[in-house]
Amino acid sequence: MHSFIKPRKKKLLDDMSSLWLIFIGLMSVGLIGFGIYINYKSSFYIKMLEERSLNNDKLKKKVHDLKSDIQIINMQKELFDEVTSTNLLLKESVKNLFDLVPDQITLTNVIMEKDSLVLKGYAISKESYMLLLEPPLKSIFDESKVTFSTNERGFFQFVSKNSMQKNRGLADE
Amino acid sequence: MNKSSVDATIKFLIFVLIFMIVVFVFVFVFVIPGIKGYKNAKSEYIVSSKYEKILQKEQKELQLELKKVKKENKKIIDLFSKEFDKDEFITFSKKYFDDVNLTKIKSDTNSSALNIYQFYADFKAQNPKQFYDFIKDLHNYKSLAKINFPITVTSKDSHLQIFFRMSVYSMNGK
Repeated sequence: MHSFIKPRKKKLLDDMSSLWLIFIGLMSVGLIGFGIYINYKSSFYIKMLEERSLNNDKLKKKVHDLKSDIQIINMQKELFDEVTSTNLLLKESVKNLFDLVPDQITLTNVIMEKDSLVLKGYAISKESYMLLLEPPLKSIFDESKVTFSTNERGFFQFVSKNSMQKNRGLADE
Repeated sequence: MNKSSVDATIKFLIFVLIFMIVVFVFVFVFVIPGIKGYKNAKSEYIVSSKYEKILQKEQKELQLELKKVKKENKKIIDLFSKEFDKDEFITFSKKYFDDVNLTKIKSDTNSSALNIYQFYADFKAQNPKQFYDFIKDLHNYKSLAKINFPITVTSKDSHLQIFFRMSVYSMNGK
């Protein structure tokens, strides 16, 4: 057999199919490209976010440190005020106590607690204690007890125990 | 309708279907999760940036406040910053008392780095005024010292023996 025309190679895909495949391929490449771009942008923000979070942690620590420094200074000031006023009140309490004692009475021992006072000393007579020292003590303390004894020189030795309620204090007077 | 046009229509429908599947898969596999991740990352970044600005503002305000309180309380800060020197305190006390004896009881360190040293102070004075002056001038001393109860005053021969407990405060490394 002899043919007058040359045989043409048969295409695997026709033109329409090739066009479709190219179109689908381009669309896929476009979508993958967009996906890669959006992931790149996301990772950029994630990286920035990590840096910012670290920075924020540092800032938080600095803020915390600053707050605690201010708190410490305020605490020191409060403590200073408290100590200063307590010392001055204590000085006044001691001074008031010694001012309270008249010349006729001599103290030999004083024990001053926050809410109690023990006085030991001697007086010329019981009456001088009763008249000169007991009234002011009774006006300050809720309870005031005294015991007397006589020493070898004929003076009346006394031990005066005074106390006040727990919620009051000598420094408050 | 001839056979070739039917084949072409079927082929067209198959390609349309393939196209839709490909688009659907890529959109759901790459695009939507990517956009979601991007939106989340961006919004978190914006929130974090706003938070950073708030913190920076707070830090500036606190720095100013700290500067102000440091300036206002310079004397007090100096009081706490110095370690208590027992010998120096005895020298100071000797201006008021004839004989000074200081015995350390204990030192407490609490969580705020505050050191509290406690002493028994045994002083010998000629008159109570020396004791008043001592307490009055104590707040000018370089360390913060508090006189505590009980205070015992005993008359011995021609002098007074004054005995009390004292707390001294200092800060660790401040």
